[in-house]
Amino acid sequence: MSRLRVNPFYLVVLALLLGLPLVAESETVEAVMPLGLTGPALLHVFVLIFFFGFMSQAWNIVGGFAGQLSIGHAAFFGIGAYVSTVCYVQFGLSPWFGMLVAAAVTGAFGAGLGLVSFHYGLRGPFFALVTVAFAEITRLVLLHWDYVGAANGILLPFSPEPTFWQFQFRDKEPYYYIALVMMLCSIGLVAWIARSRFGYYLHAIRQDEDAAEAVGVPTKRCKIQAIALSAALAGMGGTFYAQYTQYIVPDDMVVGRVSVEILLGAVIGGAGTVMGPIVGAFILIPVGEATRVIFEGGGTGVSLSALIASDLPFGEKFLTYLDYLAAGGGGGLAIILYGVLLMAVVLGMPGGVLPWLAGLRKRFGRSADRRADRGTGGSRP
Amino acid sequence: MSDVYLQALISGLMIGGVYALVAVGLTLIFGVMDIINFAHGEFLMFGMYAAYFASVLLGVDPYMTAVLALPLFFALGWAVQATLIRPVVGKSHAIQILLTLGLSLLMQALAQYLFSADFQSLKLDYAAATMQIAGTRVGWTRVAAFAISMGLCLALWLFLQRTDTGKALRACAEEHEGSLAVGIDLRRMYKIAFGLGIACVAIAGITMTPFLYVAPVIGPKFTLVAFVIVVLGGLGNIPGAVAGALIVGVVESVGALVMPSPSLKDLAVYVLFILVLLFRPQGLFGSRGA
Repeated sequence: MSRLRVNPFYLVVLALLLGLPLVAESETVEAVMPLGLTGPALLHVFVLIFFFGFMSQAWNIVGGFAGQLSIGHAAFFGIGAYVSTVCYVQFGLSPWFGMLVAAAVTGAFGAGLGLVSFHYGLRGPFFALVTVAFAEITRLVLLHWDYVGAANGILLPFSPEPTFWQFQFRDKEPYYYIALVMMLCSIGLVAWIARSRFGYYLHAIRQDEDAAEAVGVPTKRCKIQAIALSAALAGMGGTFYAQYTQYIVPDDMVVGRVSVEILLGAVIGGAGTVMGPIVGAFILIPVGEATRVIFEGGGTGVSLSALIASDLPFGEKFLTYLDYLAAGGGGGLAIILYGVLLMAVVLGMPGGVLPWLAGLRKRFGRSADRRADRGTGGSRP
Repeated sequence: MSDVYLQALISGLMIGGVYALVAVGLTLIFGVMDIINFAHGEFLMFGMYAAYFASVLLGVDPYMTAVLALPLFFALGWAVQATLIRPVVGKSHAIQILLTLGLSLLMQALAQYLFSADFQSLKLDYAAATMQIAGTRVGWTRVAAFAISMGLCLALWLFLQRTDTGKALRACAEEHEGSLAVGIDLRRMYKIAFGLGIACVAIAGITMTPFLYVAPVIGPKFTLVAFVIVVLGGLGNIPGAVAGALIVGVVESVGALVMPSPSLKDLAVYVLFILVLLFRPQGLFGSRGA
């Protein structure tokens, strides 16, 4: 397949996404969207989808195509955010250029990690463990490095009249389009990789590394390139996140939960496929956000610690506790759902949603063909 | 000056003993089923919550809970193996890692939902009591945690060496097809191994409840430490895991002294981990290639 074929469905979705901000506050959207999800709130959900689609796509290069399971991508994400932010706050470098610096730095970290791990032949679970340890080391260093704000993180300076070069905007629309463009670029890059020699090498490594090595695939170099590229993209995502939230702190960014959220989209949508991570993000984020809005709305204002310490009789304590749970408990329901989704996909459709759909279509198509055969070809010899 | 290091050495050995029980559970599961359990620390966290709530709500002493927890968490592990883990036995490592990662995510979030993200700690009358070891003062609860954990490690080792079930488990770890051929029920062995592993890690958690806070996020640290130990000691090697655990405990507590900040103590452990993975993936004592 030398020519790029684009499913018309994706083009329709893209057209809709391009036009969405124009109508985000219109009455039609208000009528269609539940929970009053219109205007900036709606755009925010889409920014999250694009952002996670982008991050998952970055992970997909090393985790999906090369088949090297990284559970530490939060480290690259965090380093990227810190690099561009420090460049901006300390040296006044525009975050647009900071993003490139971030990509260079995280790419170098990725290459270094890959160089060390793959030089010593770490594979499968051992590589995964090294990425976890790398992320933990990154978090600890950031937490104790006063120059980058240690545990307090960095609050980006707020400018009342933000200019384009400050990568700061009052409205959601610019962020929306930036995130969309980043996601589209990542799709384009991965689509190109998938059809390049490099992509076929990665595919071979994923299938059987020893066999690939035997037929002359430079496995070590390819894996290092894959993780460097993946890390560079994740670093750029970090810059976007820092500019979007205007606040970065190690304990929110470089934690295992974030590493898992980054890989979740790709694994659920289909790791090693071009559109898998994007489809995964379009499934995960709406499900997660809806859960947050519906179940974690008010809360009862009950503090669990206070409830435990109170003198209420046991039965009454228990009833208050049930109220507490019904009102969303201590939160985390969206993440519970993510965990269930991840396990369900791993057990039920191990390749992810897209390959599963493709398999379904194939099977359905085949049985339809057979029906057609039976209908027309009654005169089988 | 040397007093400080002696103190660090002893408290490192004490916590290392508890780590040993955590790691022995992990290595047993890995040895028998060839599965890496990324949700290991979350079971420890649930063990700690069990001890915490039993104490504050029902007035049950944590050491009593430890006794009750053995059958309870064994059953929990058995059930989790029978439902979630069984389908991925023998599948690729990526699938297994993703499944147990999903389980770990689920358990963390579930704990946050049920118990809130607040840090909780027990206030026991005897928590401040200390005893004298080699001229330094050590908390009584830490010594108890060490003694219970080491006792259980020994008991597990004897179980594996002396009983028929234990021997069957070891046979599974050596050779899957071979043990099937001599009539060992592999599926049952998997459930027993997972149940035992989970019971070990939960009890390790419970013994730490008197001196350590609990929160939904504490699990991953213990999972990673257990991996460090298991890799140090050689995968599937129980005496190796105990030795590795004591080393990690000491590295951690001495690390707290030499690092610029005590909370950087884990850094020393992770660096040690990466070094061992790179240069001695078969473990410090093993000869089997990994």
